[in-house]
Amino acid sequence: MEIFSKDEAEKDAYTFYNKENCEEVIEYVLAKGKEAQKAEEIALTAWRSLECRDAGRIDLRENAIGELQFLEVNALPGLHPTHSDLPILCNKVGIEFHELIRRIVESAMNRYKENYTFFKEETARTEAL
Amino acid sequence: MTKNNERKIAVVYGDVLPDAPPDEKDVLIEVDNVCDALDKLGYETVRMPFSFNVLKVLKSLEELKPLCVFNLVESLLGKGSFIPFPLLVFDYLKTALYRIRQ
Repeated sequence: MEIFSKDEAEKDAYTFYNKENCEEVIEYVLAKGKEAQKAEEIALTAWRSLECRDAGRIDLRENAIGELQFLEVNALPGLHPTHSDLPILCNKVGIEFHELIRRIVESAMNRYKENYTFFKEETARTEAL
Repeated sequence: MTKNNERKIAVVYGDVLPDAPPDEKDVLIEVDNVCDALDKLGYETVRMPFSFNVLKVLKSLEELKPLCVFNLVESLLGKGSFIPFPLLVFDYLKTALYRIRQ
């Protein structure tokens, strides 16, 4: 998702004011084509390299010559349903807020089940020795 | 874990002081909306403010024994740099009490 500031937005930064008044001063546009593919590649590489889990947001920025640069990872992104970027992006691709929350919980629970099962099996094995 | 806790989720957030600025108080709206979503998904939510009174937090979570913790702690005492602290507490609980690998 690309973030564009309208004329009415506070300048030079994606400020708290801009986020709170995003309906009036910000335009969110789904990225498409090769640029979107490149962004996805960079974002997923960063996410997986950092071993991040469940849900988050990677921020990228285009430099003066159009190259996408990694800015930061938000492993604990805002979850305000209308003012936070992750829910806004999800909504644009048809993932409603409650579905986003469901996926986060499911991801965490799948990880828990895998590791808890492993622990139980390991405990049983070592106790049997 | 007892059957009663199979659908219980602790939604943990940074304790918000009365004079906190708007961007900190924003987390309370997030808590409301996350709890609402989880309730609609059939979970039972328990809202839990996280403070530096770690023993109190540990005791509350140990008594509750939730299915999981939904972490919404974005700052503590107004500082985002304290974000890792709750994660250490949750990891301790996971390994010491539930003895989960990872």
